[in-house]
Amino acid sequence: MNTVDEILDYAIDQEQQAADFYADLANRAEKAGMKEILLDFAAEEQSHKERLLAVKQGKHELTPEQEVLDLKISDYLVEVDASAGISYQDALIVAMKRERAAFQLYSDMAAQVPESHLKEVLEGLAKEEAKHKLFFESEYDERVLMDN
Amino acid sequence: MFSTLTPHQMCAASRAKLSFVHHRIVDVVGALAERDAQAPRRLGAEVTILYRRRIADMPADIEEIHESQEEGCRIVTQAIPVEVLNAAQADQVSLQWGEAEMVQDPKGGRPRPVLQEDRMHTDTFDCIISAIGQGGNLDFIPGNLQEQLAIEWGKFIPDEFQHTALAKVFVGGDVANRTADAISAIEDGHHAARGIDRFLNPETDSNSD
Repeated sequence: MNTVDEILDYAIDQEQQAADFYADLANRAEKAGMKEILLDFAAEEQSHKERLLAVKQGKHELTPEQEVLDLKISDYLVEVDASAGISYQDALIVAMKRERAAFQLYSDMAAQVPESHLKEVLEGLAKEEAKHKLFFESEYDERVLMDN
Repeated sequence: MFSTLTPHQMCAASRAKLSFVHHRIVDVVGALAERDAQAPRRLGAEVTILYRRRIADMPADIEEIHESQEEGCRIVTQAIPVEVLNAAQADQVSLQWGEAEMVQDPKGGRPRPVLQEDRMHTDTFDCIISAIGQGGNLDFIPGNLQEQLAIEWGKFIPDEFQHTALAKVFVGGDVANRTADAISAIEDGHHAARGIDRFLNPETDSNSD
């Protein structure tokens, strides 16, 4: 991956894979209510893909300079399995971990690229993933850690 | 009727078999944790309560919080537990926790605690009570019935008489209200009793006290 378009294509594919992952999990979900929630997750990932497609088409700009709050919740949680009997708490952990890994990937790539438009795009993608991570971490704080 | 057992009740239930004298205990706070902390404190333990947010954010009655403080429980606010570690002594555990800064939720929700990784601490205790909230385990209810029962975020959504969408199922207590305290569960029981009476005797009006 050397060009901006290649990077964006990769990121778009990753979002599609995430949407497919949650849709597949929704189809296998055993717990009541989880099917709908996982389909919501899939829709969220689809919206991320749409946003990146808009970036590639020049209709939307990434904002690498924007500060994104890091609640650091997923940083200290243990990995869980995405099984058919997954609970809402575990589904959120899976989602947070995936977004964190993506954030880390784009951040690391950006750090290795000299000042350029490509670096800005990578930093912008990292910020996008940080926003996605914040979305799921906020949900975890609100729904799972509501008493804490 | 469905209800859940609180950590406090579990702690009280096991009190006869436990001795906390001269022990250092940390209570990782959730709802009703002040009560969880008071029981070992009364048995002589040195109790520390760690709470992620501020006292004003605690999901407990302020009287309960003041009572636990007056009894000698130490409350450390804006303290986020991070990891349980082996201690030097085999019969103890260490808990790593970090200080938190409260940040405003841009969407208008309650302030959220953010771990400050440059302000981490490790303390050693004899026992950790994980009072991190509780919810009903509804896995025993078949999936098709769960959908009919209208369960949202682990709680039933009954009508004013605690009646669910299933004709013979009434619910009350923690699994059906947000207050999660005993008095509300008792109130739910009263409503359910009237509802069951109405259900069994539809021709009579049992809505009056």
